[in-house]
Amino acid sequence: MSVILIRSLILYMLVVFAVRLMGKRQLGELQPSELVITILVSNIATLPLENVDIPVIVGITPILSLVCFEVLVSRLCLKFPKMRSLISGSPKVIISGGKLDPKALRELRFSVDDLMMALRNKDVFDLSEVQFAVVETTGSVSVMKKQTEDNPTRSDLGLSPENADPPQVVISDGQVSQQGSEILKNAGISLKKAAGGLPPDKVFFLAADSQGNICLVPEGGLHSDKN
Amino acid sequence: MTRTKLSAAILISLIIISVCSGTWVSSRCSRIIAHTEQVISLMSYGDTSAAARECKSLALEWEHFRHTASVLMLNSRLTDIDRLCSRLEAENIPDESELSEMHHLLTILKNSEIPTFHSIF
Repeated sequence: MSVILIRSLILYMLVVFAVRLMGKRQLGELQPSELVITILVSNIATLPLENVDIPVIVGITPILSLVCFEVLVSRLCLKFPKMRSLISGSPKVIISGGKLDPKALRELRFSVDDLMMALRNKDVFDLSEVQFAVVETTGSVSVMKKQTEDNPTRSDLGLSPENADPPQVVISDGQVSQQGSEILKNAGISLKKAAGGLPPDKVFFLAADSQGNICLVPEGGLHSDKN
Repeated sequence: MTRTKLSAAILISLIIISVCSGTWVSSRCSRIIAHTEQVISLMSYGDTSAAARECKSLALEWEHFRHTASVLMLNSRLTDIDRLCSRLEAENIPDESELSEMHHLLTILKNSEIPTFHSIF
């Protein structure tokens, strides 16, 4: 029993390390090669866990080698576009100039229902609203609406843009973050002032942006905004 | 770039470890095979007491090898030889069929660690 426990711990750490090694790309939408590696790694990791007759190294070696191959191949793909299109495929245009390409849909084995579902996921319920659509290598559909159907932007409306970064957490549950403190420092506000005179351990949440806008929630829970 | 370098370093380490472990398994198996051949030749001369003594040192050698080999290879590949070895150690007159079976299994074990067309596919 304790052997299985220790093995589980070792393999847990190994799989977490393997996923971290694959990078943040892995956590988003998977490329075909990444999907294959993820399935293989999860299957291989279970083998030494299920069977104590299998040495842990028999599980570690293929997991590490597969993930390392994946990292090296993705690096090569970055350098050689031809290799990238060979391994990951290339995006396919299915709607161009507002016109649907049935041939491209058939080639992708995409039914009209699949297309409509993908469009609905992009908040498009009418096919005639779409100017251009591409099926990405991950299988997701990217959509560009016709300009007549699209939302107006700030520049369309002639509004002056606010060039402020989003607020950063300065205090979370009494803990002061280094990054957030720097935001306050750049905005020229002291931590004490931002916290409304409260000590950090009495602050549940404090966020600030570079413009000096502050959102304060004391430990008691009463929310307050101030500039 | 750090990930690429780390992956390359891990891959190189894995290659080095696999080559070293393969060489180690192969050389230790060769030594045990030589031991087995010596027991077989002693048996052919009719020197059973010397053969029995040699079997005991063969079992000791196997035990040392098995201890580390169990970390590197599937236990199922070692248990058959393990069983034969303990039987040979217990016998006063080693059984020739068991000796040749052990020789055969050790040769398979040795060859399985050398990457060839047959061992890969």
